[in-house]
Amino acid sequence: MSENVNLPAEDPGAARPGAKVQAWLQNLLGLGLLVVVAVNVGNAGSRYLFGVSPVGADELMVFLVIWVVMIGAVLSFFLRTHISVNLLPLYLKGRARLALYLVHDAAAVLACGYATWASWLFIGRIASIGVTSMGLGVPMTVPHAALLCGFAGLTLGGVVMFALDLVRLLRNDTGSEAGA
Amino acid sequence: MIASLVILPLLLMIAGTPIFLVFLTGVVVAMMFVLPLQPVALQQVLFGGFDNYALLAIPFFVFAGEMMSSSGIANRLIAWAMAMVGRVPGSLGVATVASSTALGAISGSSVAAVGALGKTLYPRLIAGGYGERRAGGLLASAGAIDIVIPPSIAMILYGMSAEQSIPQLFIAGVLPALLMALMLAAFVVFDAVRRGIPAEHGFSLTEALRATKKAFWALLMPVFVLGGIYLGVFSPTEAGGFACAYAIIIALLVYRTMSLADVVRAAGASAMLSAQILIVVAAASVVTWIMTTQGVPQALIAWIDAMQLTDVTFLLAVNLLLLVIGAFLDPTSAILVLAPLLVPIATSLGVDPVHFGIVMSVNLAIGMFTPPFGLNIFVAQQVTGLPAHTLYRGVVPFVVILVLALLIITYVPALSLTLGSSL
Amino acid sequence: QAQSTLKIATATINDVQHEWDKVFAEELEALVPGAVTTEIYPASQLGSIPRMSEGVLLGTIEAFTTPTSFMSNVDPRFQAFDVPGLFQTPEEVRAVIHDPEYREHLEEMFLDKGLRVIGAIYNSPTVLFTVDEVDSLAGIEGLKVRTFASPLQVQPMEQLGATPLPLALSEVIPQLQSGGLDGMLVGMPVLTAFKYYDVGSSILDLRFAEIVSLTVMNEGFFQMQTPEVQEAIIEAGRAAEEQVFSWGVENVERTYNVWTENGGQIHELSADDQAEMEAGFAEVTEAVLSSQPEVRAEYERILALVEAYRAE
Ligand code: NA
Ligand code: NA
Repeated sequence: MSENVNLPAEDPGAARPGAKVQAWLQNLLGLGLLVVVAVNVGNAGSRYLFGVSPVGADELMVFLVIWVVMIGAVLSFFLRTHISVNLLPLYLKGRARLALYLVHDAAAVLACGYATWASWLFIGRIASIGVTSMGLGVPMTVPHAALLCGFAGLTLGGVVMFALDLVRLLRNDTGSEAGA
Repeated sequence: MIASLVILPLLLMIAGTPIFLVFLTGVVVAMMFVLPLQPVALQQVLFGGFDNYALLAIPFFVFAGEMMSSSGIANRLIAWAMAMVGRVPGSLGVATVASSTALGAISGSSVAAVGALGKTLYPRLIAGGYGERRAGGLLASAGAIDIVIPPSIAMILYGMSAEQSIPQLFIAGVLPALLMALMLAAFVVFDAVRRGIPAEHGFSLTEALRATKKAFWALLMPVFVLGGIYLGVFSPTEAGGFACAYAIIIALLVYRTMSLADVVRAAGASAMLSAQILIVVAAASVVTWIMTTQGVPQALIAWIDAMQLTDVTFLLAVNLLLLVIGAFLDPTSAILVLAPLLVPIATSLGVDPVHFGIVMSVNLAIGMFTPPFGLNIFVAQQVTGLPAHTLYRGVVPFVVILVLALLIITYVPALSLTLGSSL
Repeated sequence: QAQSTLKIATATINDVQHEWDKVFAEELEALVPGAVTTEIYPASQLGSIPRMSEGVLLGTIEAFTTPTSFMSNVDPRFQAFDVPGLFQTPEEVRAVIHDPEYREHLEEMFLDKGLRVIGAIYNSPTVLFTVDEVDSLAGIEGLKVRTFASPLQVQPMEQLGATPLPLALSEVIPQLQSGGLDGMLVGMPVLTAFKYYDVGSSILDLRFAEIVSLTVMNEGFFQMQTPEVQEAIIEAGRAAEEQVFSWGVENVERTYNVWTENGGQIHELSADDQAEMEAGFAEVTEAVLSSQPEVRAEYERILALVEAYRAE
């Protein structure tokens, strides 16, 4: 399958050594989604065929999807494939575009940094109360940790990309961004 | 609060910041400096934005769409649709509308329809001489039919928050959705005549039969999924999972167009696209939550109330309000917040709540592709690779057409209510 | 004094829970004018039930009105109110929740989880809604029935030979229509509010449990209030439930009428079936309670009050 919509032709930022990690992670997410499909089909199938429905199948699917989404969000951030109104970045070239990227990176550090902190506080509180999920009975810290990891990854991503973009801006090195 | 929740996000959006960061930054700045909210609320509401069984339909139908296009199922379906509508000028565009309607009868999320059709049809529309703007606009807008034709996630949510019967809403959506499809198709034909885009083929029975035979397994997919929903085999979300499983089996065992590794790669790409969509949904849910707790919807309602409206002017005002809100919010959040507030006013003015649900759904369906924020636009952007401004201009005629359809649907309640009462 | 905002959330609308919230807000305002701004968010406006439950635990929502069975993942003792056969009439519920000594205990029994009970409300009887007509225990066998994910709903249904399915509420109607589900255990007002008579017409009035709703408040919020406001919150809660009790009972009657007016049927089990079901439920209950001594202790305390009331 060659026409992968999520991959820009020119891979910016994390670049070549990251390509393998990216392909590996994306396949992992794919496997995650396939598991969700299997749970869904298996759940519905067993309900109709045998009248048996595993308690918490819905929850399992939702929790898995939350993990897939958060990891996918971090990966998309590095690839700059997140949904955006990309009018201005398309028209701007070179340093001006890098300056916009710095704004995006800074927003990620600020917003996701705060979200990571909020997530940390939240998980600490529900861990001490010991809330479990209604269906599976797993500690609610398990699905919530997806957001903690995801936002921590996005914050880190913001810091790394900010540093890389800043270095490029200062060196006036806009070559690698030309095709992105 | 206006600075952090309106001006700052607007600036970030213009700067091309990822939309989820646009929402999240606005919320975080508001929480840090303006609103007396605990930080843990952010995590809780974001999580709540994800934690919704109905939302599972999004990754399922994105993946089913991806499988449909990479396995060749969609191409065979579209070839079939074209063989069927061959004689009309602009047949490819009409086939797009027809395919979108058919897919809408399988899926509850219009994002999936745009994703599935865009990949297959966009290159062909370009090759057929429609031009980037028209092709992109058509793809983004045709997906809106999906929200109105059952099954519809929007209607399930409306039924729940407005306490209306979901089956009645589903039935009520059929004729309005067909009206939308007909008006879009009529425009496409008119446009093709005006611009000299010819019919792709003349209609031939042998060709139609050959296309039907070639598309047999592909045609069986909507039959299988739709029939599954209506004949009592599964719910819309389950139908999404079955559509994936069906497409995997067809691709691996029947058409043998994909290997197992291809399927994993397709799932990976779908997971990425779903992640990009769902993180926006979650971030939007925080904005909605803050607006709700800050009394923004209530203020809007009070404002409508103060204007002493009749049912006719109320519906007009609601349409305006929802078109504006739909420009910025996703239907899920908008319905969850607004339905419980607007429905009592509507019923007190003598508007049938089922009809009102259809009016809301059509409005928000249009909102799916009105700039600046519309998930269909973003998906069309992803799938076609077109820049936002091309799509923004491309959707304009389709917004006009569907707003006309909206006015008819709004002021001819019979369109929504006849089918339900005749059953 | 500093004004504070009290957000009360609930999943339903225009029912006794919502009514309690409204009356509580009025009472509180009358007791301490201007001290607290109460905002009511019905119909899950602040999120799904699990999210509201977390919200009140963490203090992002100050209070949450809900049937007890939705809080059993926070503290198993919430299940004590759901034990089959415990309550048989609304008056029995009232006798327990308004018993002065029990009332004080109830208000403070979840303080270790950071929750204070400020309202206890008679909600409605639990009935079995089915798409096809069912009027006997034999008819229940093999049915796929939606329940809450609480052992005291799941296991009794299993005991009757049905398949209990804890499903998301948004899936219930599509599943009922498509045959993925044959019925649901539910409070009567939910059936009419959501117009279930369009999907099926039969209910079986099992008479095995009365739903009790509680309003729980975040204790951190409560402790931040002045003693005067704290007193007023407790008073307003108690006063509100006195006022809405008869409203709630009448509302249940109204919903039975709405049900039959819309072509719905109401069945009851034969005396033999009823006795058989109650005996079976007693076994199930015994098994659940013996594995959870803290729930049993609470149940026995409530039962003693019910029995005292019955004896009167
Ligand atoms: Na649909
Ligand atoms: Na929009």
